Amino acid sequence: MRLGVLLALCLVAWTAPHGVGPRAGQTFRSGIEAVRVDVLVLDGGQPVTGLTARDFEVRDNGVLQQIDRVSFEQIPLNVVLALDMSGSLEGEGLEQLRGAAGALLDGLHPDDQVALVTFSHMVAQQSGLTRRAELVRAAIGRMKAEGGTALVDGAFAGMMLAQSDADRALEVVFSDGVDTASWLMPDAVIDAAKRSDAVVYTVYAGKAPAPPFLRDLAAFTGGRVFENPRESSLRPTFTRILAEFRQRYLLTYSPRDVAPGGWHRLRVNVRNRRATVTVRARPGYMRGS
Amino acid sequence: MRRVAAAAALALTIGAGLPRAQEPATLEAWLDAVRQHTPGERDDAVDTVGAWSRADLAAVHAQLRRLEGSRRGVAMAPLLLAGAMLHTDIAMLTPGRKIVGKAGDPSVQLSVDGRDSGRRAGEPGWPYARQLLDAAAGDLASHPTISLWYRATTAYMAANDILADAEPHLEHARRILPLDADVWFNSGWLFEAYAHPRTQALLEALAPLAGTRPPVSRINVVTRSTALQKAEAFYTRAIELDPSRLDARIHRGRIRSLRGRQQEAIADLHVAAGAARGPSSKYLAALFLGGAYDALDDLVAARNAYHRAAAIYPLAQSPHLALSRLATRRGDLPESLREVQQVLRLSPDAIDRGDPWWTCDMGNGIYSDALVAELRAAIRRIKESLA
Repeated sequence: MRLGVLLALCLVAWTAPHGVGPRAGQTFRSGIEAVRVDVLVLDGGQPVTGLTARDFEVRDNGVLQQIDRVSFEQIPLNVVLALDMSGSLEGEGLEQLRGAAGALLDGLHPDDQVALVTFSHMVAQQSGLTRRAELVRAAIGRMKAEGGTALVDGAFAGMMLAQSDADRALEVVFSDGVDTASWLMPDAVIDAAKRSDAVVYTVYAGKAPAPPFLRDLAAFTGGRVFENPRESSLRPTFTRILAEFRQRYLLTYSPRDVAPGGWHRLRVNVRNRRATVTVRARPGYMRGS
Repeated sequence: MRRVAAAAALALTIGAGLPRAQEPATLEAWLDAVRQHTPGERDDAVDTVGAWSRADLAAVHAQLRRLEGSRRGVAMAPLLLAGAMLHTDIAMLTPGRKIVGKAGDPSVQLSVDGRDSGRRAGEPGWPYARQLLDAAAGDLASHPTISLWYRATTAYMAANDILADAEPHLEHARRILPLDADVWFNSGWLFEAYAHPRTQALLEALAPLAGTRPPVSRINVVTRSTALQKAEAFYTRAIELDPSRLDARIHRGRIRSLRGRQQEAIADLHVAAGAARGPSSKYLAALFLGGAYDALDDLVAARNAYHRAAAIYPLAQSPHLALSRLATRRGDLPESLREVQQVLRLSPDAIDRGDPWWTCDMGNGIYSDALVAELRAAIRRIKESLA
């Protein structure tokens, strides 16, 4: 069982040296489930650092919870780039995207993993999760734009890949068009997002307003949507996403006095915060069918 | 046969030499072009007649009608069929050419459920060919070719996403071929395509461009719910005319599922899945069944159906994505990851991949090349019989 939900075993794994903890394919089982919440705290647009468990207040369906752990920059990242490779991106747009994705790779730490998933009508893993960013860089260089747009399918596959182990999961979804080819329905993938630990940032470079799916995906995972960035600002947008994600706290708690199933509304606050401080986190999580 | 020979003589004796670019639009020049044109080739005839304005075409058509009137007893049908082929090839082989037309000439008005949302010029070759075929329909011997023409041209429109021209095309076809199940199936395809997110997004984009001039002809691109309703009605008519049409049943099942009528969808799809012979039809029936059961929250039946689809097309991504998503609903992350890995392990090269889901919204468009080739061959034979 997972969905924003990990196990006591996992908590141990976080503190172990990277590479010792559970990796992809390993199943976590325990009677105690923990909920993970990624939280970004900003003051005047700048990240607030140095906060501890005592500074946070988490309410699960209105019930105040005891925070077991707060992590900040200790846990390596799983970054999945899910990039639109439909025909509309051919030409200058593709070059801009290559540059932006490459710039994000420059910001990775040695322990971070990164993967590249592309989607036209076809969802394809160009490079699996790896600490060798140069492999992903080479895959970025090979990307070709052609075909339709399975945005919903591609975003889903990237989200699942990002949370395939205990590392912090970040998915960056880029698209310049509307979905024309997905089998999965947007609502179904939003439902999966509510059950996921991954934080999804979406970047939409189309001419119209961003599709509701991209907005919802970012909103329900605690990420953010960047709409219609100018081509010249695509690179800073990608580097900003990574930098911002690094500045997030990871809160963990074991839910108490709340029903196990259904939608859990989350409220995260910083105690004694100034009026200029803002807190960004996912609005809740789903459990059960 | 005598009538055919007379028509051939008519076609071969009027006009002389190859048509040249900028040749005035006259009946003689048109007949010469029809005679010279080789179906499927972009020859001088295509370029000459393709450069004529809408007004030129209307004038030539009026002369042709007079000729028909004066030639009572002479079979005009083969000539008219060959003429329709010329205009069809102009539309297919020179789709980006400049179409000259004065204000007030036929154009297409896009509207959403009756609300104007934009306008675009229509291809004059299609209605012109339809007029010629209408005139040829008096000859019973030409009916199979006319039926083939509608099948081939609609498939071409489906393959090339030519929706605006397809609506009047199929509306006309339903009037003159009301018992042709293909016409009704293709009409279902058109409205299913209207309901597609791609078309709906186009409509949203066109909304700010509401037309300011009164349209001469109108195409009503409907909202998703209306499009789905019409698509279902057209597929139903195709099934009534030909109960063995599994393609219509599969698409109707899909439409019914999208309209929230899952039990009726499941009934259609079970019939189709049981009777389907080809892997593509079996796959789509199983995939859509999975979707219908999924919508009913019957996760076991949905999982079984998706597994059947995955077994039929191991390289298709859709069933594995659906299975992965189902596993997330059960909270089974390991299975969800396993299924998504099935997709991610597939070759990233498009040439190695295949998923009938990607082309199922093309309707008969997947047979476009074969049908158009069959049509051109039929017209070639007709022209040879005239020579």
